[in-house]
Amino acid sequence: MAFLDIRTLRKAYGSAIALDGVDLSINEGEFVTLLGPSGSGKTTLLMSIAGFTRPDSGTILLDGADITGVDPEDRNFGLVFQGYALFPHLSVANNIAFPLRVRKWDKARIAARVDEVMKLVGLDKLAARKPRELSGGQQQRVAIGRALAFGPKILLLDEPLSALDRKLRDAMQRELKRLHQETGVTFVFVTHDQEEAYAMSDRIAVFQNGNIVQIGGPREIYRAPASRFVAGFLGGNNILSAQADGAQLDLFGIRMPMPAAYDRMRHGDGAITVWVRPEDITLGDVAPGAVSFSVTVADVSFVGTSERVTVITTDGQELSVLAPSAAARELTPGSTATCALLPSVIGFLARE
Amino acid sequence: MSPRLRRIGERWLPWTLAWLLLAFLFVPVLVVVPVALTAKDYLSLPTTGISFQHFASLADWRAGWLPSILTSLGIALGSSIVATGVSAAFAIGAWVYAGRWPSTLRIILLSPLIVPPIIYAVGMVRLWSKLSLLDSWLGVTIVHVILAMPLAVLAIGASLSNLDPRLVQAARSLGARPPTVFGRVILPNILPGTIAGAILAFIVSWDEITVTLFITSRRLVTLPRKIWTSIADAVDPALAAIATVMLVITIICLLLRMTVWERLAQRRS
Repeated sequence: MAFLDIRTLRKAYGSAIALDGVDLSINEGEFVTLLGPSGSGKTTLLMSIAGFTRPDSGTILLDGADITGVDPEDRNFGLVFQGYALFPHLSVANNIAFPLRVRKWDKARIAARVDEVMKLVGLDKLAARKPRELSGGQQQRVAIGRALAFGPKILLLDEPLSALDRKLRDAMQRELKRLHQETGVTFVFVTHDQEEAYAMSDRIAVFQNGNIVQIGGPREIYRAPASRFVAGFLGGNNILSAQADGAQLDLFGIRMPMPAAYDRMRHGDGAITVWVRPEDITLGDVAPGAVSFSVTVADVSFVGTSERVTVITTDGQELSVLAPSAAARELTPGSTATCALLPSVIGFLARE
Repeated sequence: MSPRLRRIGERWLPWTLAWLLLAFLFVPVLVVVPVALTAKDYLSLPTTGISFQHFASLADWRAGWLPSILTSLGIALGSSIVATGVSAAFAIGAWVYAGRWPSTLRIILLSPLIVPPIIYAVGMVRLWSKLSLLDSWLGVTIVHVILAMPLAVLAIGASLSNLDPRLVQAARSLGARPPTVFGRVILPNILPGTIAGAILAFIVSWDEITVTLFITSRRLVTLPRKIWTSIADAVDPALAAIATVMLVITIICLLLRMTVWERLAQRRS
């Protein structure tokens, strides 16, 4: 049995369904990310685990015990908010000591634990500061330290990094990963940013319309999106229409041998949907075994390490290609170019 | 321009004007002090000699000033405590459960600020006569609570508006039960606004005359009512004496606020 077991959880706000029978099992010590667009139900699930949202039906089991009706203050789960929600009238040390005072620990034990937690999150020199005197990143550390101070069974994080700038966000991602490894606490992390999810998670649960549509490790989800929605939501995949005809595949009017990944029962016959990652398409050179096709360049934009080139194929489909700057330098909108891809990079979406 | 003239223009002229303006605002108030010291039986400047007899009559129970002061003090304290408590409960509830109901209720609670007191008074007379609350402690206190609540709600609501409502969830997730959340998280953060609300509520009740005139008659005489009748009947210099006493108390409170409070605030930060 899993550590935290969520069974057919349902929650509706009027006619809007936030959770539509969600099942999720989380193992002890795991880092699980709930990923999805806003309104997909991920925050509702997190708040149900925290105890602030009462599900209409379904159960939440912790170590086999039903906690669906337990008050949030009795669950012993740490919770970190997007806006941190630090107590403005208390110093850093007293914010971290709050859960310990509530639990009536004795003074010496509280002082020792507060010291330990402040070292853990790297705030040992700021004990006497008030939250308003801290930067966003420091406030975030206080919030995490406070939620970890009492030794919670699970740490719930509700988009905690979205208010930080990019550089700080990268640093905090590494920090969270380190804290997860050092404390061994189970982390449940909510975000709408797939890069955040990839960087930290053991497993990612992708949400759509109150359902988990795919769950798996970051690489697995990246390589094999289960549906058109997941393929589109994760990292700007090209979603293309093609023709399946027995042993042949027709993509952009080019016929090629059917790749081995194709399964007629799952992916269908005739008009089908495939996906191709932008970095798997080459511009200019054609590798052995690759099929090539001519395209019209629509747009070239510099994205740092490479160029993102948008091209239109001869059958009118738009394709996003990530190419090294050297290959894309000569391209101007309106010019023609040659693209190539290996049939093995083509992914197939299940018939919907 | 000579440096001397410049100094007068830049420094002394604004100073003088500012002090003149302050004097214009404040000196008429000070007139009550000499008048209170008159030896005569009517409002006049002490031309024929100084006397403290009118101050003595304030302390004389039979003159009616002392009982009315105590009545006003009791009603103002009671209505301030009740108004602050109810307003705090409402403001905190509206802060936690944002939605349509709290904002509708808020408009109803703030309505005494909008309805002219005289209209309100006429309505209250009819209602209180039906409920036989006319000329009673309870009747006057309830009215003063209603009149004081808008200011208390605004003062407490203002201090809550700077507070993140998720602090409640944060505190509960850390193991605090609702009473602890109130005592250790909400109250410390809204205390200044709550004290301000309580003081405003006290002043509303202490000053209130319009509605009180309508709903009291012989039994309950608040200080404003006593002042009102003594102006209407005979121009008693005791009036100036009570004004002087109130003036002195106000100045002492202000001085305390400026010295002791500042020192406390400095020590805290």
